[in-house]
Amino acid sequence: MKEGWGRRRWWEFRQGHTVYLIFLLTFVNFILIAYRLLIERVTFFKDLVPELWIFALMFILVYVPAAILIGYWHRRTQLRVETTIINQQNPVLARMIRTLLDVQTGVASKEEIKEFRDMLKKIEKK
Amino acid sequence: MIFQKRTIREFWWAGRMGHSIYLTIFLGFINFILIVYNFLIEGNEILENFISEIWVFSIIFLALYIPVSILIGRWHSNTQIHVDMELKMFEDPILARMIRTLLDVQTGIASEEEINEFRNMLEKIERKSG
Repeated sequence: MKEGWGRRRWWEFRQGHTVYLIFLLTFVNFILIAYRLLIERVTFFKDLVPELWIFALMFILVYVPAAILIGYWHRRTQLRVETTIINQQNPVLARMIRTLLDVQTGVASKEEIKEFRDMLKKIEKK
Repeated sequence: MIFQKRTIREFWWAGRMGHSIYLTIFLGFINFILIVYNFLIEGNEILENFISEIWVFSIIFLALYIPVSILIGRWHSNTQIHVDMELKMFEDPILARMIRTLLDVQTGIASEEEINEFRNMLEKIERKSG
């Protein structure tokens, strides 16, 4: 598999952006919007949180542990549901496994094996 | 009719990919630049001395953001993806069942009943292919 220099950098850029830096952008957006358009305009909130940096600190201190706890819950309870649903909707993987099964049990015909192998080689060439 | 449904679904998928992989980055940048400039830099005497115009801020932001993002992504690809994959694989019962059944067939442990049940499950999934 040969990928161009530009495509590799584009992949790395997207990984850096979508997995890491997007959090920073979203947090800054949320903090500024919430503070300037909500907290600053309501006296009650403004008395509670008089400065932007205090709100930012409070938000991060609450948000980060909450996100970690929710993520942990997701991994322990929800992730297996998602992988199951995704695999149950993956006909190509099912075909691959079923054909391997049929080869091992002797059910697969020579024609079917050849057709399957051609499909795999076509994918490999990408 | 089935072909049309499939085509519409493929367009829907292409649209989602176009949005989530490419265009959303553009939208996110514009949001960030407008919000930060209007709600943080503009009106702040210290920051306005350094960044007097929104286009200056945009160029500074992009010139820093793109290389930093590439470097972090490179680090992520080399060090973190295998952890992500491992966590996902350990929470993937269907794939584990597929590989285990193949192993059991190979080692002669799998019963005929189990093989049939497994094969039926696979065929049921295969039929979803358009």
